[in-house]
Amino acid sequence: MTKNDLEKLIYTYGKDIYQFCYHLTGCRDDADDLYQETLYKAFELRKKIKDPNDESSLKNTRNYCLGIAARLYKNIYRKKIRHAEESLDDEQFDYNTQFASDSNTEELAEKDEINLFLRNCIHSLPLKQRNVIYLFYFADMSVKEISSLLKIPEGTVKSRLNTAKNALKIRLEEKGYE
Amino acid sequence: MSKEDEMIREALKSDVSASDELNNKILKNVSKKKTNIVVLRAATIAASFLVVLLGTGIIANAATDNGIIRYLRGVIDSRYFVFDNGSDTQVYTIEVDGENVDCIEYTEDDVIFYRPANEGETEYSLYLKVKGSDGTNHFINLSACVDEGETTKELYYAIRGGFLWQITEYQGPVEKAQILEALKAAADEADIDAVKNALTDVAYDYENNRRIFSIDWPGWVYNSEQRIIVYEDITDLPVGDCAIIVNTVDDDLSFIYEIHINENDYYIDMECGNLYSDEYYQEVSEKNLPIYDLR
Repeated sequence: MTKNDLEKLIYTYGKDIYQFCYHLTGCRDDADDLYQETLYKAFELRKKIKDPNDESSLKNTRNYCLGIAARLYKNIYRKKIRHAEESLDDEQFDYNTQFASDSNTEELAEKDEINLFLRNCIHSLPLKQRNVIYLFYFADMSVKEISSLLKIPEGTVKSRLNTAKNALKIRLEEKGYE
Repeated sequence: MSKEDEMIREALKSDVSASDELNNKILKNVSKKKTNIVVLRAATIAASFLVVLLGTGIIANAATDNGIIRYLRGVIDSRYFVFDNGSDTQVYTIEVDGENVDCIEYTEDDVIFYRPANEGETEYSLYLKVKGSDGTNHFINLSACVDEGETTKELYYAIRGGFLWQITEYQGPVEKAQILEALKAAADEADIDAVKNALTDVAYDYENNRRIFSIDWPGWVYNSEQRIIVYEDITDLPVGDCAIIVNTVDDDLSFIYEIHINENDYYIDMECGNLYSDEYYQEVSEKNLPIYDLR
């Protein structure tokens, strides 16, 4: 990949890649690190972007980067658990503060509250389920694309999505949301 | 899209992005990194060859009727096994951000396989260069990894599940014959019984067209962490059915799954999965649910 390719990728899809990192880590500082590592790795491993002016070619590279980020984070996560260095809910965790909006009506405030609760629920899912949730709902990837990216069968993607959705549904119901 | 789908999508919307400062820093650094890697790569080629040579003694030069073809044929222990039909290969290690990454480069074909060596994990890889029926080469990297110190049983199922799933897309007779040959050759040369047995069983399943529907490592069934391999035999089940599958996971452990199938899709409801027991089997039998015993 050339520096120009990378520049184009950052300009077009940098935000997507960053937000994916942010969803995974739940913290701006960690997201910065993960984003940086992801792009370095993509730059080194990806031979080239077929056609940097072609939208689908760039999108493939974006998906490729999301895969790198997921794998890198898996390693970080495992090390964290293994060494019990920090938990995901320590003072570094600024996940929700970044989503705050100017809710000036009661309805909007309630919506924000549900979104906040749901984001926390998603973040507390096992990492494997979280990955497919983010890729499916946030990155808008199909089951087939996720399967290919994470190198797991489509059936596994579906079952992880289904299990995650069921878990979220139960948590929402317990909280009294319909 | 269901209401739940919309809610999840809505909750994940955000407006955060990397700062301009960070993006500029990355773009500035990549130019430097490229130079560093070239230097590192040159320095590590000799070293990695030496390590491989001393560690496993697997590098060989072979003479064929067509002249000298250099190839690398590895014992699939904790490293890799390369099966190909005559291509120059070069193996080296590069350092990417402090992490060692093994590379096998097919120099003639301009294809490079990267094998990240993650801390605390051992990866078992089988690299295949297969001549396709359309005349083009397929480069296939089968890999499975286990934590260091894991049991041989874990290793067996990681390879058995992971490899089989990765090769099932190759069903052309020309490709299949070569892949089978490679699997059997790798099994013959494997130093570890668990690897040898796994490769033999993968070859058997592949030859008999058995496919994997889902693998999960570990799988979450009633929050237990178990290995799960579910074979695709369920695709033969009637649409709209709700079935109980007794699926062999390993010799000692089986699961019963509830399968929901509709016209558009089907999935395994893991929440309904349960460890197999004769009592539970009897219980579901009494509910008159169809039972598909896949053992």
